[in-house]
This record gives sequence, C-alpha cells and structure tokens, in this order.
Amino acid sequence: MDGMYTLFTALLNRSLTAAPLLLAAILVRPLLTRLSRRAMWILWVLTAVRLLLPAPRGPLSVFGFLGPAPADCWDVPFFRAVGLGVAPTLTLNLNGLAEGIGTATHAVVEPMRQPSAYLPPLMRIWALGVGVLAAWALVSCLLLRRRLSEAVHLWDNVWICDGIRAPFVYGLFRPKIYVPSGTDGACLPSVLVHERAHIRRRDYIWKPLGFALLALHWFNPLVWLGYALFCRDTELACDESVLRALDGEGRREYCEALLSLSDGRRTVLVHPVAFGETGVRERVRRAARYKKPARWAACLSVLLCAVIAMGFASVPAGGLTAGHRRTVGGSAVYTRADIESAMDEAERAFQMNFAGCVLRSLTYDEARYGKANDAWAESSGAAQAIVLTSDFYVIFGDGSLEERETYRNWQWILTRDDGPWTVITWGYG
Amino acid sequence: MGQVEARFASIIWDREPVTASELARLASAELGWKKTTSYTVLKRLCDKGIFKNDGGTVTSLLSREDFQAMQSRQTVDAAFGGSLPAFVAAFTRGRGLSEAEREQLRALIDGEGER
Repeated sequence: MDGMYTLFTALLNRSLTAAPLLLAAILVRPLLTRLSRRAMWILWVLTAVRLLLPAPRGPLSVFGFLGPAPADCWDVPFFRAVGLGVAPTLTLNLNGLAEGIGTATHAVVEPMRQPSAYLPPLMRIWALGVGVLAAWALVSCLLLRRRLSEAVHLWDNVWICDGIRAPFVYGLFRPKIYVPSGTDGACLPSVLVHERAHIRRRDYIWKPLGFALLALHWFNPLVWLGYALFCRDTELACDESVLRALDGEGRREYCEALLSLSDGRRTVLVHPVAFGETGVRERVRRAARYKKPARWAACLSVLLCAVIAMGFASVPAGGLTAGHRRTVGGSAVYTRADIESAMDEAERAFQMNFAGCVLRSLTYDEARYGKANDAWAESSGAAQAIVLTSDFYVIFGDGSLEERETYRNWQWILTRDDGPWTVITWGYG
Repeated sequence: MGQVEARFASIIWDREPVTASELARLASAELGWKKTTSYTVLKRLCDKGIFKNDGGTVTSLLSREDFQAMQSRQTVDAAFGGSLPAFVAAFTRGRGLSEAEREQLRALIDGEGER
C-alpha cells in the first residue's frame, strides 16, 4: 500500500509542478501557433511527458527560487512522499534565504513519515474520477462501434455511414475514414484530404493517449484546458496541411466545406477526430488568411519553445551525489542496512540543501563517534541517533560555503524512534 | 431514412418476399454487412412499420412508392408548411417548368379534380 501512496503523491507532484508549464504553453499558444505549428505540437508533447515522467534537472528552471530538488523522485516535493498537508520542505529554504545566509547550515528538514490521514480518502476520490472517465470513454466507444457496424465500404479506407453527424477518423490500428451518408459531393474532396492529414499525423493515436493522460490528471483544470486546446490545434494543423497544397480557388472551396459541414458542436474530447466539430469559426478565420510562415518565424518559435521547456519543464539541480564513496565501519549497535538507510537520508538532505556542491564520501565510524551517538540520542530525546561524516567539495555554494574548497569530516546527525531515520542537523559538531 | 438504410430497404423491395437469411446474404454481398447487422437494421425497419418479418419471411407493409410519398409529404410539411404550391415554386425556382412538365402537372391536377 505504501508503494501506491508513493505513486499517488508522485502523480500529485507531477500535476502541480507541470501546471506552470501548462500555463506557459496555453499563454504562449496564440503567438507560437502563428509562428510554427510544429513547435506548438512539440510543446504539447513536452507537457504530456512532464505530466507523466520525472523532470530532468536543468540550470534555468524557474523552480530554482524555491530551492534545489531531491533525487528520489526528481520532483519538486510539494507533497512529501507519504505525507500530505505537511509544510512543504521547500519553504524552509525560503525562510533560510529570508533570515540570512548563516542559517543554511542548521536548516532542519522535517519530513513526515506517517501517511497523512487525508491520503487514503483522497486517493479513493481520485480513483473514482479515473473510473468515471474510463467508463464514459468505454461506453461512448461501444456506442460508436454499434453505429459504425452499419457502415458501407466505399474505396480504400473510406466508409459511408448513416448515423454519424460529421466525418471523422476512427480506429487505433487500422484507421478508417467515416463519412456521413448525406455529405455533399462537392465537399467530399476537402473532407478526405483533411481526414487523410489526420491519419498521416497519427492523431487517432495521440488523441486517445492524451485522453488517458487527462483521466489520470482529471483533478487539474489546466490539463482539461490544455487537452481541449491540443485537440483544437490538431484540427488547425490538418487544415494547414491541406491549405498548403491548395491554390486560391481550392482554398475557398475548403472554407466553404468547413462551413457547410459544421453543426456548431463544441470540442469533442474523446476520439473520433472529427472534421466539422472543433472551433469552426477559428479554423475558417485562419484558413481564410493562411499564408506560409517565414523562415525567421520558424527559428523564433524553436527558440521560444526551448526557453519555455528549459524554464518550466526542468527542476533545479541540487547537490550532486553521484559517485560518492561509502565506508561502513563495523558496528555493535546497527546493522549494515541501518547504516545504509541513514546514509540514504543524509544523501537526500545533501541533494536538497547543498546545491552546487559535490558529495565525495560518507563514512560511519563507530570507533570514533559511537559515544557521540548516545549523546545525540539523549539530547534530542530520540531512541537512537547516528553520526555520519562526509567529505564534500564546493563548486559554487550559496555564499555560506567557501567556493572551491573541500570540507572534510562534515557531520550528519540522524535520529529515529521506531520509524526511519531523519536528519536533525549537520555541520561541524 | 439514411442513404445506407435506403439501399438496404431497396434490396427488400426489389426481392420481396425474401427470407431473412437470404436477405442477410444479399446485404453482405452488396453492403459488406455482418448477418447480425442486417438483422438489426431489419428489426429497426420493421419497428418503423415499413416491413414485416413473418416467421423468417420478409415482406413490405409500405410499398416503395407509398414510402416515397410519405417522405415527400414530410418534406413539404416540414419545409413548406404543407403548401404544395410553395414546394413547386421552390422546386422550379431559377429553372422554370418545361412544356412536358407543365402538361404532366395539368393532367395530374385535372385527374385530381375528377376524383
């Protein structure tokens, strides 16, 4: 069950930290789509990836002002792994910044290890939401299939059907174009070119995938907005690829086809990807004044896309700990696993609070610090304490550490009662 | 009735009386439908009162002409408030009536008048 909670809070984390990226994508969309449609699409894909996968570290992350990020889930931990409703550990850094530089060495990290009481009911609500959306998608899919069973094959992958209102593409593996039976023959060429563009772009895959992502993040209104805009963008992109191949006369015909086949419905969220359903007014307006974008526009759009990606899609780098050496001395009190888990916690604290530093080694030396363990346990009122020492190198500190210096035998004090280790302080004794 | 359904109905009107399974075979050949699809559409058309399925034999309750008449009446009712002159006016708008058509109409009206 713990694993489930960890996954769930990871999802919440991703949703929250992807929100600025979503917002940036939505705000920059009017400009970016005018410059280059492909760049916008890449931005949407980036957003989707950001909602699913852990974020990469980057130097220009806008989250940097909140503090460095830990390595365990590579997320900015607004919600600590199993705790909810605890003060985000990042605010401690803000306090540190506000109070001055010296406090950084004594910042206390306060993780909550008991699953918060809010977590199980929240997770149940989330699961319910996912279930509702999944059921809705399944039902509408089944209903659609029933209607499509009466379709008649025309040629290639084009079918004609009575019960549908607008042309669309349907089918995950062998997509077919379905056309309503009353379609005006004059519109048919335009319709087919548009639907073939959808097939070429594989929109019949992206749209359901996007919906699956939406189902996971149903509680995030920005994801809904993003998905609706993404669907609209796929329609506009297909229009554009059609118009690119047509001349003035052909373009006028296409616009007329768009107008005559729309029936004023709102954006359809699930498949199928339909011809006349999405934002017709916007599409006709764009189709009417379409001209090929200039080369400088494409370059600018790539730049814009990259800036947004670097700023919003990455998380700030923290202390670097890869490749540090661990020395576990013999112990009469602790098992090797105990010591290793204490070292893991110390490593996490380093990643979070020592940005710009490189951890070189972690050592447990009971011969030297055994007594200190007991003293710390007593003074902090915990059942057990452990003292670890480390060497680290400072590349560029936060001002309180000397740059290009190696700090040796830096101590890390951890305590525990009957749960896991928690770091209570660090420094030179 | 949609175009596809109309083709199916057309098969029945052309071949009636026909057994349901034969009808399914014909529909499969001409429309590419599964048997179950044919039976579903047949049931729908029977429920609408156009055809009837008597223990496996399909016959029509409305002939093709009757059905088309009903459709036309519905169109005139819906679009022209039931006014046939309005319908004819709309139909001939921009192209006028040929001499042959005028003759046909005259004969039709005279025939009606005698009834």
